[in-house]
Amino acid sequence: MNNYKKSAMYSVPDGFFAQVREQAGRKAAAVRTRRRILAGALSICIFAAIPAIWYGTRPALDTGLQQGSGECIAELSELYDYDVFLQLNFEQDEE
Amino acid sequence: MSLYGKYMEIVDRYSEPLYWYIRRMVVSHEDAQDILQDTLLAAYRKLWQVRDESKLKSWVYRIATNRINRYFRTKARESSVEGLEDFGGMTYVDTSDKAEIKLQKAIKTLTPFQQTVFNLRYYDELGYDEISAVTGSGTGSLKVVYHNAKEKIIKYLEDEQL
Repeated sequence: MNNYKKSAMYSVPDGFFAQVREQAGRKAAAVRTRRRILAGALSICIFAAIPAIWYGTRPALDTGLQQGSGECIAELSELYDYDVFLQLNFEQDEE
Repeated sequence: MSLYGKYMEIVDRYSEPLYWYIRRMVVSHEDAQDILQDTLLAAYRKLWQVRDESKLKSWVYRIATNRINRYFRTKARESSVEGLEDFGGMTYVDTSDKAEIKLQKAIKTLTPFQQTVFNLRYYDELGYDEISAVTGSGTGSLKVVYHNAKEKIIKYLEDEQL
């Protein structure tokens, strides 16, 4: 337990520490309630935001992928002879 | 145990010693009450950060010390010796105990840091390692500060007796 000495000249009103406990508990409970409300609001925002972001970015993602694959084919066709490239693709398809 | 439960345990265990620690520093009951509530609330807000529960005591004292330092900065040391000269008018202060008044006045001649170290060591009976955790100073220098504070108090009391 705590060791401490009191100063004889200082005193407190009757029931002061019970009042401190009650007040401290009340203030902490108010903070806890505010935190819970904030956490609830935040989770709603996250759950609402995930599909919105997903459906919002998906068309852009698809376009990006299409463009990316188109650029890749163009680069390959420059590197290799186009006929060889087609032949390679054709052989792969046959497999 | 829930965070709230743990917090109420801190309130039960430390609110009284914390109050007296703050009170000796700031003297006024009303200010001590405000700082104590502020300290407890700050402890609740930051309680989730506490990993090592063995350091809980020094942790709450550290919060209180920071609040006291802030008080001194904003209030420009209202509780200096000059302020104590008329503390007969203050609430919940017994001026009949002359020896105790002298001792408190002697403590008030110390610098705020010396007061903190002296009060934590003498009244709250904290170990130097605990005071080190509260103040952030090394134990070696704290021993020197405590020794100097004690010497200063003794000298003040001797001079007052002349």
